[in-house]
Amino acid sequence: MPARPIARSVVLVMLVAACALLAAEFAFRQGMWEVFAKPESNAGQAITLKRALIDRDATRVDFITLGDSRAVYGLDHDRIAKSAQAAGQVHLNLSLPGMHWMSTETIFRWLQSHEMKPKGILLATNIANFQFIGNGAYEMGIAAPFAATWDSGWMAAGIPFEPKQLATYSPYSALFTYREDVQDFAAHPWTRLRESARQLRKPFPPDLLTRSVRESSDVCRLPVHSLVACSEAKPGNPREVANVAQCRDLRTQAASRMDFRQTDGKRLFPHLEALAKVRREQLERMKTDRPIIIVLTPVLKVWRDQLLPLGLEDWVREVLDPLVKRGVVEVHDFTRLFDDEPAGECSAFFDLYHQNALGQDRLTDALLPVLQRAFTRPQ
Amino acid sequence: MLFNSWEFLAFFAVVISVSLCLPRHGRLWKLFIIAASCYFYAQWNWKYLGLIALTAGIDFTIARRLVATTRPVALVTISLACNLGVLALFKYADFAVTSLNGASTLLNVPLAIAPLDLVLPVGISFYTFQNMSYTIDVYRGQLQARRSVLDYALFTTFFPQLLAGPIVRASEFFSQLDHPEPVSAQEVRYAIVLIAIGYVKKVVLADNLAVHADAVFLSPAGAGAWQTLLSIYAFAFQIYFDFSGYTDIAIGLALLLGLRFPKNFDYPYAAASFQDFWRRWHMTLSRWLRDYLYITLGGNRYGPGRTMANLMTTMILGGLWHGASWTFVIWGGLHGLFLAVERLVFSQWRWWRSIHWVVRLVRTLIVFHLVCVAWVFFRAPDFAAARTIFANLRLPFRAADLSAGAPLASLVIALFAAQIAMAGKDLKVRASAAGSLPVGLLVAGCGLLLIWFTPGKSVPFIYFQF
Repeated sequence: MPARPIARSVVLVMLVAACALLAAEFAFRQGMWEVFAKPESNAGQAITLKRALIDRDATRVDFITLGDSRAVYGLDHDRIAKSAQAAGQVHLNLSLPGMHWMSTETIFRWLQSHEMKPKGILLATNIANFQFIGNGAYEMGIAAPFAATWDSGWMAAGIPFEPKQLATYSPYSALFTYREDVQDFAAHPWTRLRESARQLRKPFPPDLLTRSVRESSDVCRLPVHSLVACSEAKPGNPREVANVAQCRDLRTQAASRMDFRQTDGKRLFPHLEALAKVRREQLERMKTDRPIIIVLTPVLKVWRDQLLPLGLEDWVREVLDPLVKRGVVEVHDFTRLFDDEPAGECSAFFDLYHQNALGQDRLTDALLPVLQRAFTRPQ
Repeated sequence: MLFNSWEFLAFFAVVISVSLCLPRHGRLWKLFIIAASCYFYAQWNWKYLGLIALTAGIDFTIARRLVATTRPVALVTISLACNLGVLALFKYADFAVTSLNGASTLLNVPLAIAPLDLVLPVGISFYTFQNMSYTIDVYRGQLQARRSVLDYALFTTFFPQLLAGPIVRASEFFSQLDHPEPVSAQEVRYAIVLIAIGYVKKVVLADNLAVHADAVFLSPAGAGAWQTLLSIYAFAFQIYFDFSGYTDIAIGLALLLGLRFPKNFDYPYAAASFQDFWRRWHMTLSRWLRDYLYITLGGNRYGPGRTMANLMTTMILGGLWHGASWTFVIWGGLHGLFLAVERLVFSQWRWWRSIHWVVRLVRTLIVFHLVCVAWVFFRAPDFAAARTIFANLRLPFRAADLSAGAPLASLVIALFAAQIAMAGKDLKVRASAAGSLPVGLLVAGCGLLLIWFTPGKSVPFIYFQF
């Protein structure tokens, strides 16, 4: 067979395969897989949130809370919603574990395109979230269900591409985004089909978007003032096993602690200027009628003293100050809220990252006056 | 550069594109493919290209001399000594040293010979066997010595089969160079199907099964009975999909370059006897061992006792071919024993050879499980680990352990059933005959499986270490 017919056969087969893959890609971008997603996966949680928003009787949304798991556990969303209701406003909690800047903007864009234009945004984040461009490839799972069909190119900026890590292909192809869910479906097909059918029949609980998540334990049995001591502590229960594992993980990260301070007018990491610009532009894009209320959530001292880049807090202020001056955002810094907690800051956290019920109450108490002003402020 | 890497896909895209532009099987084409093959091998270690050149050079020269010499036995002995010597030096020297040291310690005359610690050249067992078959065939008068050094270099270095076979006979290879037959559109589709399915076998099935197999084989202590049993099954299918996936890709790539290679696997776990198993598993090695070792030793020509001894010798050497370790010797020895006992059983109880489906199924299950017993020695890092694995199987089989492994158990049952159902059928041939549309859809399906089920960690091909 001469070379040309061989090439023709190869091209023909590949063309059919490419068309079939493109069709599958389109189907996935249209949300075909959403009904089978594992409820606990990143995509599954985002899909639940999206369906809850779609299934609401009314489209009216006045205020929303966006943020990651620290926002999920750190705020009493129920009290915030009731406070908003008392002021005649509708507040919904759209925070999700793993949410970062890119997924935050995707959800905002989705609300805009679905005629759910909030008047104000409460963005609960923490200083650590400012230092990275993204939160890893798994953030695509949260963002993808909210992304417009062919509008995911810009999301790639938040996920550094690594050819050997298939998860980093997800900004370019929805087929990669749902890998975890497809694998789960293959491992437990009948369970997933049963659950999917049940979910489709069952209406969402009415409080899904206002519900608070509360954890009662604390970390006072562990020496959380030191990553070394904490990582070498003997855990007494499964929760502490997880906490000690966190300490070990953070201790490894602390070994390569960065320095964001300026020396002789220059920074060690030149990319920080570009990163600051990206952050500011994104917040500008998310501006609504009112300034975005940025809540810097509490962080344990050990993070600031041993792990987070030196000078990070000052740099975060540098990022936000121009936006504060222009009225794009207002910043409420609660990073050190528990530094002087009478029972010790450990009493306000249930692990190295998240606040417990006490921490949630304290932060919500501190924040509610701010929010009440926002809820009652004339447009 | 592994077949399952982006680098290889880019490399092959360039090779096939240039290859299609050159006159097929012409001088330029051969030079280009040899250069590409050397580049491919050099990605692992360019220094060992010299070793390939050395052994190939010796075999080429000796084969040429065999035509005119009056002392062919001496020449072929030199060739065998060179090939086996290189193999012994790189693969078995340290094994011999450690065995000698160990034996001397047992005999209370401790020796402390230092091992050579040489890097094992990738693919050495494969290309050495291939070279040996060439000189033996020329010596036996079954093949004419090749005049063109280019042809012989191509035969030795051809990259699709250089690292892990299939072990192609020189006569099969050269006849295609001498009388090239056009590759049909159906064959092109068949090649694409083979490559796509080969990748799925390796990346989707073998690499995911490896996680379960490694969990027990690397640290068997503490594993439950069900977990151990399932990990043995997982390894049985891992090694099958790993190696047959590799050979599917190799055969497909070779076909796209215009060369037809023999089949290497034919649903081996559907085998209803050990003889049948070895007709289905690593078929090109089996026929090599049969033609150049078993038959040379006398085969079954000298009575049952000698036949069994020949079987044992062949299988033990076959085991040793896989790796320089006593566990491989035991693996080969077990297969030799199974084959010998099977001959005895078949000759004594003829009803056991019945083709009734129930009897066949029982035999298939027995063969599969005995093959699995042998796999334990093949995979276990040492005898202590193998012993722990067998000891784990004496633990109580708890239902709770099985429920945790239910997805793996279902997969193993499905894979075993598929082997039996597919035996005798070649869906790949059928699919390729169906036209571009079904093949394109099949390739897309394989692509989706690769996207969804490629594990985070890439696992090297098992047979590369042999």
